[in-house]
Amino acid sequence: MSSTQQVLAAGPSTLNRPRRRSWHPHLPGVELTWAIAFIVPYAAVLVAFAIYPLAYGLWMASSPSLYLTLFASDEYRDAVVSTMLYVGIGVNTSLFFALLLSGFFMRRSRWVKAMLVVSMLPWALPAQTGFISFHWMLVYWGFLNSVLEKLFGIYGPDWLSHYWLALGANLVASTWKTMPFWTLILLAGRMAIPQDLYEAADIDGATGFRRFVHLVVPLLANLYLVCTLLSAIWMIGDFNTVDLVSGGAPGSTDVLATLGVEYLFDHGKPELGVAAVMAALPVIVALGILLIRRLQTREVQL
Amino acid sequence: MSVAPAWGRTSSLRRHRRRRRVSDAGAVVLAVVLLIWWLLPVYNMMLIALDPEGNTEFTGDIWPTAPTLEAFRGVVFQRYWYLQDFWHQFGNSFFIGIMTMALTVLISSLAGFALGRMRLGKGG
Repeated sequence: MSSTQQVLAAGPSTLNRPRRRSWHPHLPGVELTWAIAFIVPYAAVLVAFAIYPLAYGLWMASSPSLYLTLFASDEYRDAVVSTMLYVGIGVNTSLFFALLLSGFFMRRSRWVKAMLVVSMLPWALPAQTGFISFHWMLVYWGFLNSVLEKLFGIYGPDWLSHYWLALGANLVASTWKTMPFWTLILLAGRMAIPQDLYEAADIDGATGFRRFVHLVVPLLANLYLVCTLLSAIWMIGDFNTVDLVSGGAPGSTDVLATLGVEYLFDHGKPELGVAAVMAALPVIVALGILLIRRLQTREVQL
Repeated sequence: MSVAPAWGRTSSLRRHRRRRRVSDAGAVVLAVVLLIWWLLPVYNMMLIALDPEGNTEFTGDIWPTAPTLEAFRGVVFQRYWYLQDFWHQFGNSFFIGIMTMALTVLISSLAGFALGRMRLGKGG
């Protein structure tokens, strides 16, 4: 914006008054004071509840010997592998099915709109209740095996005592919980696509699958990526799901968040617990930077 | 205006209708699968909550054989020692929820507005 435009935008009063010197290129002195007053509460919360705990954690986990102990221990290496599997598979499954499902909710029938309300139930219910229900459903004498026996006459395995089944149970529970939210976000993205683009695609003969691939996917790509990054950050810090569904059973489905808490309370080694979680910090910071950069792009967007 | 051959038009219309019917049927099947997926854990919660002894879910029954609201009564009238402060705890939840909502909206909208006016994102 040129300086003439700026003066015009600020209104006629600034033309008559002598301009006061400002510390900020866009805001005159008084407004800058207000701006700072508005930012102070936010900054205070940030310092008290984000920067201070983080700095305290880094100080607690500053000894290099902690990391040597960690990297040498089998449980930590298992937790890193489990976290990578849990986050890598979980985020992509949840987001991909949410993308497909958002297409289902674009249908115009009234009953589909009613289904949207029901679909919010897993997301709206308290996480602990849902995950405890999953846990009790999957134990050997649980609901799932009862259903399998009643309907098909087979008795299922002990779902939580085998590594891949327990990891799968965590993933299913996490997808159950998070997918409705991402479906809603991607549905909002789809609804923001102008109707005339659909009509243009219709005239060009693109229907169904081809419309999805050549119209919806390119337009939603940026939003999808932002959701993926955000979901990955949330899932790395996810403690509830793994703690309540598999509980770390059968000994190696612990992720970093649950392993950290285990070190803290069960083993009485708080430094080691903090170090286990802090070791994931570089990944989280990288994801955060990517996320902010993505949010600023102005190319294809909605 | 050119007249399209009648057979071409009806067949394309019929194909369109058939495709529509298949898609509607697919939507219904998908809806049933989705309802099971969303509601199964909720159904299991209900099974546990309606059970008098606290073990229906582990005896192989897949529906409440002797449903009772005893557990709900126990909660509402604070009958068990670990539930004796239920309504107080309920109030705590509401208080925390409403305060969190109000403070989050207040603090972040103030900061968001100020940062927007300062135009930090556009190179100051």
